[in-house]
Amino acid sequence: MRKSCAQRGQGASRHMQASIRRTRNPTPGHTAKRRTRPYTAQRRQPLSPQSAAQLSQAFPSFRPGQAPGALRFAASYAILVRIVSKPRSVTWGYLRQAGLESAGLLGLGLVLGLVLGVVRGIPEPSAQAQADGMCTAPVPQSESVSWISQPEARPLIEDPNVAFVDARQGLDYEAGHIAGALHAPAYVGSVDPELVRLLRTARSVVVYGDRELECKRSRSLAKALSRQGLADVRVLEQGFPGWMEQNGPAEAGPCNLCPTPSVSQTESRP
Amino acid sequence: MNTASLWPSPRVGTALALALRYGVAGVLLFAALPKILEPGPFAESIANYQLISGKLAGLAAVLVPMMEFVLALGLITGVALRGAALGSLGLLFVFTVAIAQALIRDINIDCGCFGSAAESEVGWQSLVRNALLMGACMLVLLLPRQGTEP
Repeated sequence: MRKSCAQRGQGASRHMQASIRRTRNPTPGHTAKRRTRPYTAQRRQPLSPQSAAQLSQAFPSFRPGQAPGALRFAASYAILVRIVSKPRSVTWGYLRQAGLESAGLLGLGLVLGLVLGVVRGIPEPSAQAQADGMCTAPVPQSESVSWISQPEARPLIEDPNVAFVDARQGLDYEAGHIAGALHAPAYVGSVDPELVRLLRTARSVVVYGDRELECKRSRSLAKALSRQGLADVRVLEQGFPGWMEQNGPAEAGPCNLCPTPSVSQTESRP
Repeated sequence: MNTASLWPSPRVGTALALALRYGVAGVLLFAALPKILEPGPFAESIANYQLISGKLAGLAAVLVPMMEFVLALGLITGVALRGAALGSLGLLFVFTVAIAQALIRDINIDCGCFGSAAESEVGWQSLVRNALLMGACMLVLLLPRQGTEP
């Protein structure tokens, strides 16, 4: 077993022997020095190149020259990832307790809500809000889109100051559309300026599509036309299927009145 | 093993947990109070989602805001903190599913998230906001209890 210089007592320099004597028999005026400085100095040594390389690989933002701050950041990041990905403090018991507490709180809320409902009464939503289906119960919450029902739209087909615009795909338009309707596929991205110029001559514009995806397209087109400055743009409830169910006038074929006649040949799906 | 000891400074975990708790609680309170005061518009909003019948929507309009209120109180006071965080997570998950189905079905409705206090159309923003709140709830659930316990 290796002995220290102090234990051996021999072989040490005169200076060290004096230091050992002072430590063992401290005399007044001479206090033993604490051997903490060398360790502190060692702790503050810069990172070894291997450690710096490993840290740089694990954390790209790490720079060896900024060891304290970067280390701190890297440690925080690693710990956050560790907590989120593999939390050590979360066990099944912990989750069960949380579930019980959660059930208690939600139950308390339910009881308080029931008491409040009994005292103040339970509100009854309007019939419009309860209607079913897609695009059949439009709730006019959007600031730029207003709706028009099928019975309201039907007589407008005779009015030359009202323009109907089809927002569906070109093939669907050619297969059948409202009589005299223009075609402006909404998914192209921008509205044709020539078409907008044409629509400015109309007092009102009625945009329609299908019931599902096309419903969104017709609303998008209506918003786009409103942004172009057209005053009265409405979306037809239930779209073209609803129009056909009402036996509205319809026709097939390409759009002859459109500024770009062969719409179905020039458009491309997104 | 206590996760608090893993942080470089325990104050970081404490501050984060407190900020998240009070943040989520503030949002829940802001959402709950207008709906408690005026359940009618919230009942309309729930019915607009076309998930449940009108009578159930009216009942939910009375019950859900009170649940939000109780959960917010739990988060603020720290009483049953874990339960409050888990309950908020569950409630937000239900809201997120409702909003997502409205987006998929292309129903153009008001979110109704904050009752009559703030109107906003259902959209991706609502989903992102709910996702952030759910993340905050998860962190509150996972971080060690701070602030209310020694």
